Amino acid sequence: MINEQPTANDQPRAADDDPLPREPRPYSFVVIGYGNDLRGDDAVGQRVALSVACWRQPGVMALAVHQLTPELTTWLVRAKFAIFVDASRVEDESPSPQFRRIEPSSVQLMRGHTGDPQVLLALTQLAYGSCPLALWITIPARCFDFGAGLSPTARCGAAAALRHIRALIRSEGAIHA
Amino acid sequence: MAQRIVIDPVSRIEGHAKITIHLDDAGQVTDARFHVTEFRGFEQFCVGRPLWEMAGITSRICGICPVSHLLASAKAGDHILAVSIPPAAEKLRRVINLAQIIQSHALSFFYLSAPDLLLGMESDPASRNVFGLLAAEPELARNGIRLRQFGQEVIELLGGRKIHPAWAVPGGVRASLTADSRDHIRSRLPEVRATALDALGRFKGLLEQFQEEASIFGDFPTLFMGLVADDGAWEHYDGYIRFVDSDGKIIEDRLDPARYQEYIGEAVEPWSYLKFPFYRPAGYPHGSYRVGPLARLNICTHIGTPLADRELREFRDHGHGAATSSFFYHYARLIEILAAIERIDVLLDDPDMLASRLRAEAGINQLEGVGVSEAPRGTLFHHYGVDQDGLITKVNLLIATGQNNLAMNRAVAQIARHYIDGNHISEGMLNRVEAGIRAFDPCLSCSTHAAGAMPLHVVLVGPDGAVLDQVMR
Repeated sequence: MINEQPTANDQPRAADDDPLPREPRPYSFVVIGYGNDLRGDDAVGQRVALSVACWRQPGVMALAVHQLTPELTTWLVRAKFAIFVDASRVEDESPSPQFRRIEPSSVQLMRGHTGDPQVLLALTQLAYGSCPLALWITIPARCFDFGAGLSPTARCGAAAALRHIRALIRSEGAIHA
Repeated sequence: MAQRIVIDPVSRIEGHAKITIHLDDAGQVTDARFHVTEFRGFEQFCVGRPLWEMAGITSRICGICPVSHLLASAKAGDHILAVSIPPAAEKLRRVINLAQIIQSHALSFFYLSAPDLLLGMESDPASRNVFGLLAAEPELARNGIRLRQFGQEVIELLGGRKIHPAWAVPGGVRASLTADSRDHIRSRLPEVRATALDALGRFKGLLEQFQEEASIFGDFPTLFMGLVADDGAWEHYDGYIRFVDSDGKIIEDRLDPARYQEYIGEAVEPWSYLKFPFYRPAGYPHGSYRVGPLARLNICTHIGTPLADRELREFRDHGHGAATSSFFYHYARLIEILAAIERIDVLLDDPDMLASRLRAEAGINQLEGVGVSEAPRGTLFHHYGVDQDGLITKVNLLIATGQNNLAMNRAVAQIARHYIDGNHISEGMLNRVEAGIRAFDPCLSCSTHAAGAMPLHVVLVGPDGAVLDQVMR
């Protein structure tokens, strides 16, 4: 279960972290949770990102967004490791989050102003000549009706995703407890 | 045999639409239409909600220009409360609206239209996108991305989040800037000013090679409408409504925005969810008028900041009184980005940026209110009725894109007639039809809210394809 009840105000303010690339890789991790926060379980990516923001760990930037837009490349270029978190519709009984290493790919082109994580990595690579290593976490989701609550399936998946993210961050030594 | 070409969906615009082009037996274009195929319906489901929720609800109309709806809604609320908001609140609302103009215009130019302009209308469609732009013009594309990010960052610093900030409220705003935030915004101004000037220089350098498009992409006489300041200057938040004709002659001035229904009518057609607003004295469909960046530059006497005014003088060399080609929406958009950056620079020096008195408190004092501001795409009207308890009884939303609907349809027909030959149709020709629509930067998600007024045609089709029943309204 997600223990924190984060709000938008828990996100680090932009002014705290100037995205001008003064240092090549000032962030160990950039966690980007995305989805519609008013369509039930589709919000689970944002909820995970907001929870990570609540940890307030040095070297970790968490962003909760509706869509993956090109501006996010200005954050990705400054990270060693990127974690994307999204909801994924499932039908089976005991689903688990999927964790998948991803590479840049522009197969699914960004035709307008949004794309998927692999497209965003490819855009970062093209714009800045490099992009971070990346993990794509998809959390099982059952309900996409209007509303701000998560289903039990999505809540459990979010908790598992958060445990995994915390372990990853610890393994990188980004937590200075 | 008569034919029909369908472009569905129209790509690189906000929302869902299709274009149909009708050909005669000889393959020549007889007509073309821009159909908006999505429906949002906010005018209906907001009825019954408390006035205080409206700014938050209506900002959800759009993920690109939520601030525009937030401000128009808050202003309608100011009207219903019958309050004059604190000066600091107005200045802060102006800053967030300018940031909104910057980020939305940057998206339109750099992400959606620059691939056509810089890579070419006939270039390989597989690379005619932001990837192709980054490959061909990496510095320009990177700077464009950062320009949009700047606009969003200012919105986030004021409103707490990049999109859908519930920050402006009836009576004022919730918070001012911190000194750190103000200084941070100021520190980024030189970079974004340089980006805007560079993009303007690049665009002006392209005009020579796009002369044909400039004369075909919606170049015809219409009226132009928007807000101007008391002295006739470029305005984006308040002021009076002005109409000019295609010669630049002022035909209506100092109109009260709240009385828009006296001079704007709203028509519907059976083939689109988008309303067709028109200038009432000229009737429908003759009363076509355009709004947005092109209109704002055509109606104002000056902008009021040095760099933008210099660009405005040069821009006006491209028209006789008014610039009538919709292709120049791109040009106007870039000048407005520069104007917005300069205006933010001036506003940041105002001590009210850090003020603490930000909200006038009041109850329901009028049962009707109209809020008007300039959204990136043009003049935006929110018109609410409430009961004594402040519950919404009626909503009318007059959206910028809808006000360009007549002109967009005329532009599509003009482009199709020029470029489409039914005997030989290339992708580049069809892309020009789409690019003509992109010049207006329509936001269709914002624009389709009227229910009950639209003609409706329901067809019940059996499994064999036979029409079993149909109902028309």
